[in-house]
Amino acid sequence: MSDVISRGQIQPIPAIQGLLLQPAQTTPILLADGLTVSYGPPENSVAAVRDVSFTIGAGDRVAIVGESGSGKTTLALALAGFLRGTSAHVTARTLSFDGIDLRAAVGSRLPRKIPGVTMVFQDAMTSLDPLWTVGSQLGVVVRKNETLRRRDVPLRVRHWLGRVGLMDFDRIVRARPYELSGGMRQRVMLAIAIASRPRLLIADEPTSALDASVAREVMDLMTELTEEAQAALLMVSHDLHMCQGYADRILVMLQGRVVEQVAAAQIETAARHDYTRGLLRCVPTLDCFDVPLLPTLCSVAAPG
Amino acid sequence: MVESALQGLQTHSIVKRFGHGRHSHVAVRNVTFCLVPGARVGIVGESGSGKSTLGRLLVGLDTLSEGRITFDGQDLGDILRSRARRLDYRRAVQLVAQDTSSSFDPLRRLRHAVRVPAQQLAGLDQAAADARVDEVLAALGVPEHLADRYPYEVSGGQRQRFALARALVVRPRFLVCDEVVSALDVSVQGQVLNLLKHSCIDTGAALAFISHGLPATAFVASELAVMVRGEIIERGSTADILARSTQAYTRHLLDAHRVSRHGRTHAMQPPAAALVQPVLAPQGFGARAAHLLRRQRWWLARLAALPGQLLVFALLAFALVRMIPGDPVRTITGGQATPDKYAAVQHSLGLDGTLPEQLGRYLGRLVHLDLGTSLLTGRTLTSEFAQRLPATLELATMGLAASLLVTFIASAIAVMRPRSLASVAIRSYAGAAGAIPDFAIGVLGIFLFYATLHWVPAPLGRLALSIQAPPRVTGLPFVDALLSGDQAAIVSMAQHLVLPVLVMIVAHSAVVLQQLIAGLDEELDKPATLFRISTGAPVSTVLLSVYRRALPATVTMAGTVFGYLVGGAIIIESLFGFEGMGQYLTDAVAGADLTAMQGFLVTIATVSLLIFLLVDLCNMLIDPRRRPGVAKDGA
Repeated sequence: MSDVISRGQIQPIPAIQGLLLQPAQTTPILLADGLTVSYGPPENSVAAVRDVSFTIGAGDRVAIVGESGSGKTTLALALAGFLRGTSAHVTARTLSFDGIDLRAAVGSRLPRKIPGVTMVFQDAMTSLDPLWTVGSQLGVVVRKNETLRRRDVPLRVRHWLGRVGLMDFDRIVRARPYELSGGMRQRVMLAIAIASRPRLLIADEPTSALDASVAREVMDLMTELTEEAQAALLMVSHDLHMCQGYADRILVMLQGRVVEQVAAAQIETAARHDYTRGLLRCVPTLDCFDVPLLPTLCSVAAPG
Repeated sequence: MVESALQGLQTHSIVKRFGHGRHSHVAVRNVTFCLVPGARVGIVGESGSGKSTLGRLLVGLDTLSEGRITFDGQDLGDILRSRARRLDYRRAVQLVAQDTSSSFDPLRRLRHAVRVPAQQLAGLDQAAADARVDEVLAALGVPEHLADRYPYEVSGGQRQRFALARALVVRPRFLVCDEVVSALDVSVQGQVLNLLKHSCIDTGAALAFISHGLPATAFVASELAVMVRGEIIERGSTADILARSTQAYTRHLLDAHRVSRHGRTHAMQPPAAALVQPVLAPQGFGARAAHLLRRQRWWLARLAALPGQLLVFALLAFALVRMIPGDPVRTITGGQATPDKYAAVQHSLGLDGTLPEQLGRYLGRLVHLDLGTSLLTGRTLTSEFAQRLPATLELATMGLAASLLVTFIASAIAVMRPRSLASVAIRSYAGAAGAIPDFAIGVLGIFLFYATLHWVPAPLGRLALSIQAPPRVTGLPFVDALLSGDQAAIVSMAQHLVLPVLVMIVAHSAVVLQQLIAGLDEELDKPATLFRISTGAPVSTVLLSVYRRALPATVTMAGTVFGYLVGGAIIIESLFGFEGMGQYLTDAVAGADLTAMQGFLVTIATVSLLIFLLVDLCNMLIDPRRRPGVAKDGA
């Protein structure tokens, strides 16, 4: 069955074909320079993200790692354009995706999509709409992002479900999110996200609600799908090991600042900041089952 | 493994089943497990494996479906039935749960939360309890000043330490920890795990550590038990299981933790067996029709509840009327009535004979839709109400429909353009929901628009006096006017309706509006909305989904308002001189007509029940999760 849904069936849209001609890493699509996000009144504001600068190239896989309260989710929301028109105050010397200025205000209470950027959230149970069937939620996205005759929509819906390994089409199309298992929900969310043809997929804690084995399946799938679509992937997570395995580059956030940018492959040797080295050591692994004490950040280095 | 038959917590082939019949689900299946003093056992498994349920059973928070649990050789059921032994047990066996944000009283300081078990379970006096609290907090490395804060004023990691302190303060012999570090950052996890492991070693407490995180469990526990689909498939020392488990499932779990660090598994994994579930869609016409009927019978289940509810209301009306003090028969006949006359009135009110006889006659008549005969008019109540109820329902429906229209438009403006002046005005109006009662607005409206401005006709009925009422066809006055095609009647009736409907809008749309705006505000910020926007769904789709999710609460509120408009029709109808149920009730009360009052109560209650039936059915249509028999989580 998986042979039927082969890679050949995806027709790249023109913009993606254009990117194929250039080496992925050299084309920055996301530019952030001096990005600061603060909440509250101007005279008494609290900065969640302070003076963060980085770029993401087409097809890059970047991870933002940090503990709760480090500002990583706020950063992701700002990049997805979801903080425009809210009480959050976003400033930056440059903040753009594909030439679109992400600082531009929107007047409406309803956030507006930044073309080419799709964001998935921690838990598919809350990201998917509980009241509509999977078929309807996926169908809406397929119709919006592909030029299709109405009667071809179900075919494309099936195609995308097949791409995430969901073969039991008839049941899943009619199912609502709460009728599926956690792993299936996560796959459905990925199918919808990829069907929206992103050039940058932002994933906020994509696996922290999942069991380890399902988490691995989901990350494998997400990597494969974004690679195939030539889309960049920005994952936000507190799980350093997961990021090591699935990202090319890791940004470490502490108290709103990016304290380290390092290639994932070299993080164990090249990490310079004490906090990064501390984080690396205090992730529990199966090898440390017989140590007397687990390393903690306090025992490794004082943060900040 | 040699198990002590007497010491410790032991389960004997326990089963825990949730739900009944076809919908039942077995969470714990035939588990025999023991926790002997001093042991540290990690119970690992994926979500849905039943490990949390097992934990709750061990501490006696859930009842068993089958099997039994013994504590030091005594049956747990017996222990829990006796107050003294229950306290001993609670002191010996403590649970620490995952979610610390909801397990602390937000209104009390953390010190209080830790002190209470020391006083109530360990029986310490205030000073001794305080000393013990300080001792435990110091052992856990909690800064002393944090104890005087409220639960929401400390971080999740600190709160988890207080949860641990609250359990350790009574020096338990057995500690059950359910996912205590899963919500914490890795660096904090290490601290809590170190504390937990070493306080168990130091105090000799036995530990059952339930978690889906294998590395953390392996560190804390000296033994591991692996759970799948409600069963423990393997148990052994941590080193043994990690190094040489014979179970394929356990190795699969271990691999999942080992691999993530070293990069993706390059071959695309086939979906795990658990993800593939059998096809439910049936084949063939007959089977499909039966399937459809099964799927769609949710509303039948709701409908089946109706007769019972009606009976309750009928009994209530019967009782209420008989609780009115004084003798209604004497009120009607006057003091000098002959015994014959007295008996006749008593009979016509249904008050003769014993109470059970009265009740029997009353219910017998109700079954035949006979509410009795009005004492004042001599006509059957059924015919009286048939004449008046449609008019009242029509007015209430108009009021509700107009209110809903205003509500929807106003809510869209308030939510979509939050900074506009209109939005501010709408929100302040909604905020003042129900502050001014409808009779005040009605009187004010009549004074302003009729007496001062003369924009509307006099509040003396549905029609100008000079115009003849259209022939009765449906009983709904305005519909009858439309059917008659009499232009003068239609115009006059519309003119007379403007002010009452306006009063109902002003008086009653605020509560519905408040509910809807609050629901929309909440739903707009949810990930489900952001995800839809992020994947490029059109604005109309996004709005439709937001409104649909906010609607059920609003529909319920609208049902309440409609019930009020029908039951409380007396106010609008008397203000504007409309004929209807409200006016009839006024007459019945003035004439002490018990039969009429009883009939009125039953009729209005029936209408209310039907309204709420409609509300429920609407909400089940909007939100399929509300349909009976729908599993909330299919995992």
